[in-house]
Amino acid sequence: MAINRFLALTAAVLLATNVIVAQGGESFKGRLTSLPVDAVIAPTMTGSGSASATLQGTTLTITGEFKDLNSPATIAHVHRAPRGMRGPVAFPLTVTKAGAGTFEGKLTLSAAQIADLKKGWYYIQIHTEKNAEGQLRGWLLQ
Amino acid sequence: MRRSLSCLALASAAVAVVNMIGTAQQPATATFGEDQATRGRQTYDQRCAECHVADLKGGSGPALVGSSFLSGWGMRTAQELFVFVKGSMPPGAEGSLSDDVYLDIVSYVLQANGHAAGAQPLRADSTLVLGAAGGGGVRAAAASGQAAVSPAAPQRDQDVPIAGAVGPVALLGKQVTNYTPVTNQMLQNPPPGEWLSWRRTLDGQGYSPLNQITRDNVSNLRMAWAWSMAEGGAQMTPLIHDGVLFLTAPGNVIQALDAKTGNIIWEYKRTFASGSRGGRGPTRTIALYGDKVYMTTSDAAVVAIDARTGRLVWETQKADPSKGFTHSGGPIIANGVVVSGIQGCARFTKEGCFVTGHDAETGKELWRTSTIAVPPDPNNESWGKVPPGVRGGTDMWIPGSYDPQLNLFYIGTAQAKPWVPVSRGTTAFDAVLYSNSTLALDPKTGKMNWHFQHVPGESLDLDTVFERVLVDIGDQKVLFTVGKDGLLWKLDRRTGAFLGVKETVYQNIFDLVDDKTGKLRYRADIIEAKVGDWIPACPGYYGGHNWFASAYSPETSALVVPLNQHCLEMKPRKVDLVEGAGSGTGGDVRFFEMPGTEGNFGRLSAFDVRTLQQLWTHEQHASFSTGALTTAGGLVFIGDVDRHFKAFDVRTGKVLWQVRLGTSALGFPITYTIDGKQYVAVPTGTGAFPNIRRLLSPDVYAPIPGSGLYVFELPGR
Repeated sequence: MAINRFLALTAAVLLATNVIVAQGGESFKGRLTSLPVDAVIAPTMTGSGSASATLQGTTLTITGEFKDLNSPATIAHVHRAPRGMRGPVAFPLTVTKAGAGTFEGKLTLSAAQIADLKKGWYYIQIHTEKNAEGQLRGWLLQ
Repeated sequence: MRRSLSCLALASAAVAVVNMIGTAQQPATATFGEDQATRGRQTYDQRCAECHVADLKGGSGPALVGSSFLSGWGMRTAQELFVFVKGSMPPGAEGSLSDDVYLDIVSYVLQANGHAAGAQPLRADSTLVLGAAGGGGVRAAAASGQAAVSPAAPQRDQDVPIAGAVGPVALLGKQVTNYTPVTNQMLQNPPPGEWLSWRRTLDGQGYSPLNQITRDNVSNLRMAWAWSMAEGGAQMTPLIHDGVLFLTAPGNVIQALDAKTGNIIWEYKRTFASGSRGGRGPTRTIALYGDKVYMTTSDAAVVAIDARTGRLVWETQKADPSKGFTHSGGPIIANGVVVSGIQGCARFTKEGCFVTGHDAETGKELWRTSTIAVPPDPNNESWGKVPPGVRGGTDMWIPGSYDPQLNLFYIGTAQAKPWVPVSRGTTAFDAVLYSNSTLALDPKTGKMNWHFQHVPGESLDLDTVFERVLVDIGDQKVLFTVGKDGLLWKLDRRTGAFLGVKETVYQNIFDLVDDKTGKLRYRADIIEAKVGDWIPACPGYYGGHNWFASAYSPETSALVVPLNQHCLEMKPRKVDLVEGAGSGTGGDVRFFEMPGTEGNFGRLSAFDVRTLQQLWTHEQHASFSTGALTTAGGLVFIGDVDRHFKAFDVRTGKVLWQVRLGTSALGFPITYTIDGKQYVAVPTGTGAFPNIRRLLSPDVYAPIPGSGLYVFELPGR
């Protein structure tokens, strides 16, 4: 019947519109592992973590978790550098000050920063009491 | 932050020294015992001198005395050295010795660095600062009682016992019967069921035309027999001829087995000169020619063994092993000449580094070609301000390839040493020929027909030294090689002309890789690296690519390349530029996971040889630790450090079969036939990627004993 077909079509259009609106973000993931270690340092640089981030417009929402640190986390940041390099702090994050916990941040990015993000130039770094220069880090990658 | 911690360490060291002077009794943790140092020296000579050399000045392993050692370790304590040595040595068997033995070794190192023994023994918590004795670098003055090793007539001990050595094989009195002498023709075109040289054929392809084992039946493979070898990692290649399987075991041992049953026929064990190291390291291949088996030894000699009886026929010393010279690769028979490169060229010696050709019948050295450019070679200028005699490196530790039509022998050279230009006195703009190059030599004369340098002035221990795979693409005669940096190179093997380059893994070392010209440009901070700077590098010095050789698949025109993914930060050290100095490394290193790899340290990729396009790639947590083997059955065989031996579909990279071995796979798998039945064999051993496993993926555990050979077959017939 024509009316049923019309309703079905409308429902399909509405559904599609909802899907498009919900899909506005781009996703990124990060795997947090220890900073460079040798046989002496490795036992003092323990732990792992993961991060996920969604970019909606100019807002980057980051959430993540970490565990098994050998001393409590103190601060966490987003740093800017190509994969494998060390770079300066770009944004602050909040972090649980313990050996395991979560971190998060909601950041507003400029166009240049969005370009850097898509190039894979941002990494999350967690600093701890015993490793003030950094203990875990992971690049945000698509 | 780092600087203030160092100041703190220095201050506390100064306080410790003052305390030692000011009080009658020495603090319990600030000394070592004479007996520890004496035992430590014995252990060192047996277990450590192989890499660090008898005078502790370093060779393939870093120096443990002098400014090169103290510039990195001078501010650190004996406790840190104990933790480090226990955690990382010996390679392949880290932490396997008792704490007392490690303390003995550290005591010996302290003594060699000028510390005096005291009343109290060294303990694991010692705060003694390594550099606090004011340097040193002179080997302990105790009478050595060792004969000087000279190339002319070394004294011979009785066999140095090696744990796990085979018993009295000679009592079996067996020999090989019906052995057909191997000819140049046979080496160029081996019977399909035989494996006559390192990569089966002299073109280095690692490919077998056997197709009894296929994609459809490979999942039925079962073990036919296994063979245990001495502890260590020979990284070896079994060779097959006339039903005999020839292999090398740690300690420069050659064994001949019945290739069908695994029964032993004969064994040869190299006897090392008094005071020389025992050589538990790799012997990646031997060579077959005529009625002899040829080996290059860890004490810098070439030997020829009777293939029927295992008796020594001739031996020729190439260089003085006490200066660091050694072999781990193996010879290739090119146009009837035994051609091999030498290794252990880290020291600054007048011999430098070189390729040799020896007469297969008599062992006479026919020619020697220097791989360090020295006058009158105009390429001598590429070493900048560093004069001949204090130039190190260009080692060759992987066998070469041979093209009989062009009569050219191809081999790769490693980097100049020490690794970082500022340590060796050159700049990043001094090319330092012929490091990190492909050399094309006439095997009869040693004359260098052409050279192509892949990485001028290489800085980060990233050799381009590995297999040279020769492939004909239509009329084109090409040569492929992949360096530790992961760059896959394609050259015209007639002329050395550049044809193409491709990145196989993420790399951040070069900020420019020109695929039209092959020109590379280092990242600016690498060019400007100073002693004391930490320099990041992806990939790190395990590669990228490493000795785990690639293989060619003619059916799919694909080069299948084992790869590794990890990163590191390296800090250059100061190295004295005097003769006899120099050491392999000259840098401190810390490791980390390569971003974006999700903890997948192992990777296997296939590249179209025509376009260099990646056809497929397979990543996994455990590193691959053998060469690749391709077959006409459509398979790629390869093993990993997590004790797997796997078969992949060469078209897709899908895993079709795998089995779990006793320890890490290690070496070069082969396939062969006996009485019409096809077998696949893979060696095992320890020592691959120790730092990646221990520091970055301790869940990948490889038992230390377990060096051996596993042979697989299909059921039936």
